[in-house]
Amino acid sequence: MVRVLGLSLCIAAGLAALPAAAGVVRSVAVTKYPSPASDITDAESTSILDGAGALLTRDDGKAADNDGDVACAVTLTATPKVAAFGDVVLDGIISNRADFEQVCKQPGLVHVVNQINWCGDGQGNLLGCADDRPCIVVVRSQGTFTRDLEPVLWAHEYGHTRKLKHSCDGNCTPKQDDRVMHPTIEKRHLKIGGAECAAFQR
Amino acid sequence: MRGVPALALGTALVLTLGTLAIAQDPRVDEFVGRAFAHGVPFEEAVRLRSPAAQQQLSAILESEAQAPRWANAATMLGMIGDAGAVPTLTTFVSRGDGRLDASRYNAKTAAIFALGYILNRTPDSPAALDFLRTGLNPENWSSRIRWTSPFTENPRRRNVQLSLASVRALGVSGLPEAAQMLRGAPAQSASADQPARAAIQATVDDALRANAAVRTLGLGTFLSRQQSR
Repeated sequence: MVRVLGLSLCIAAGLAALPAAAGVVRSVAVTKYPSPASDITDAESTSILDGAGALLTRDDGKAADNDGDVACAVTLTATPKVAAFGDVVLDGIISNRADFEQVCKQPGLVHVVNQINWCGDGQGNLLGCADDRPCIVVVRSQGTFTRDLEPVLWAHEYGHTRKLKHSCDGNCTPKQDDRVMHPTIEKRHLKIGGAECAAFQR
Repeated sequence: MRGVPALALGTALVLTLGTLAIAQDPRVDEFVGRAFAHGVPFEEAVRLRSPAAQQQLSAILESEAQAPRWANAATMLGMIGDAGAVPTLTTFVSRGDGRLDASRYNAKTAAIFALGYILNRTPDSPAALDFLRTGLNPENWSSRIRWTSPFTENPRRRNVQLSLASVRALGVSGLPEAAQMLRGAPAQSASADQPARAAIQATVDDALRANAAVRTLGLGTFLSRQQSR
């Protein structure tokens, strides 16, 4: 057992549910702001993490930019219960740096809130924000961000906790339009290259 | 019989001109339908700037069927729009009643914030500046809107959140007079409860930092340095 990023990390050898080339299993604690809009059940948390892990682990074929895709054996498992954290930010809305810091001080890796309006100054209406301390803050589905995209978002934000940057920013080309680390969250954005996989597994 | 082709040609011309009048840029439609992890990317949005795009986004904000796209459309309208987009956004913020769902509420706050983008590009937009200045006082929101927030049943808290959106907008505007307004914002929320006052002060601090950075770097460069996590 090795302590990495405050998470339990263990080698997955011998776990029948994992693929033969299994790499690492990470136990992810999910917490939520106590309100209906940020509610997430244990089953939903497990399902989203399963989806995110499957997205990383699956070989989706050659990426458009020829960097990957690789079958990156990372399994994300939810800790048994999604806990609620306290009323640490006004109405579960991240409005400033202090709010983000407050939420990240709460237990768990993934923190579900109502709205994110700070992830660096000058931004609004974000779906997720993460840093490598590590801390992930996300919202539930809303607007164009539908439930089926939640595993992609969580995998993407998990990549940020592993110090991965976006595959492109502002100058994205069609060749990059299939990557997990693309700044747009889409179902077809599921490919990761070898270097990215190494970061996910580190 | 010679009149028939002429009539057909004329009809075709009218139809063509009619179609042009409501021309849709499919790239705009596709863009606002995306789910952006870290907000609408400024650099990509401004590449789609055109008078037609502004009209198209305004039409999206008018259409109930497009509600899931409203937040992106409002943000993009701020990024590409001129002073003519201000009444569209302010009317959009005020419109509606009852308890909003998260998508609609996000669109309202996105529209308030979008006014800051417009002010950056078009500083001479007194209507936008006045809307945000007035919005700094939480109590002023009660007379502006009838809808309630999905995130709090307390109307005073709703008002504070809308003031926070105004604060952030004035920050991103980069205007010196906006910075001056921001410095006076905490005093306008003196009657709010302590957590609300703390939130306003912390958001004002961030907004003042953003305001200065936008003035120094320009909005595009400033935002490009933020969108990476």
